[in-house]
Amino acid sequence: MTICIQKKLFNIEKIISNLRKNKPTIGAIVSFIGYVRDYNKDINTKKLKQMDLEYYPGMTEKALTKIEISAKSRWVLEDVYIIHRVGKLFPNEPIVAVIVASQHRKNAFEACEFIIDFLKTDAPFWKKEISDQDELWVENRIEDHQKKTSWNIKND
Amino acid sequence: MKINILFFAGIREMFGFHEKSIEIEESKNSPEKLLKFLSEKDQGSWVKLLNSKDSVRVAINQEVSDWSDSLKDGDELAFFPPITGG
Repeated sequence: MTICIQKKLFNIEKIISNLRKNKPTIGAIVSFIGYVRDYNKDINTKKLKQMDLEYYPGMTEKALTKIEISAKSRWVLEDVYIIHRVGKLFPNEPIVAVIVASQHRKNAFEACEFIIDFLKTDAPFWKKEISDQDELWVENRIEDHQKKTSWNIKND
Repeated sequence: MKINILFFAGIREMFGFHEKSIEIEESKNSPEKLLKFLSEKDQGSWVKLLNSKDSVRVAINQEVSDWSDSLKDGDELAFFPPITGG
């Protein structure tokens, strides 16, 4: 289980290759990668220049660990790797990756979706979009909370 | 008692700083009581924070908490907007 919060870009192939090293029981790896879009979803006329990502050192790591533990209690997993960038990000750069390894694909698919759904609502990160016109903190989406709630209905 | 207050994202920008350590009497032992007290005493951004309370989240010692949860000496109290990571 690895949690990584960093400013620099990450290399997904390298992470997967390290994850598979000496683990012949891994039969499936599912990865989710989130990228910085180059436009603001609400006002398409704005051109995004930069995204600033803030987090709560200490609490963010704890929250991510809790999500990983929760996923591991629901599915049999070989490994989980969560990486999230902070600081200044630019359009088309990756923000986040959730990589889940399991023996069979079903567990990896479901756990990966579960982890990113909970990360969206429970891990303290905040995005600020800096466009050619203004700087705005991104507002949370009701859909993200609905996604998280749907897991509770299915699993609890 | 001593409480270390942290501010994040838009709330940090509103206050103009990230961290503030305060000495406060024992009776202000919840985020709600503390915020009401500070908004009366110091006004400014504390009033704005109180007025937008419904869209502000609190964490005590790095755990998401309720406005009525109890605070004790040495606690870390954080105010932040809804989470938007990922």
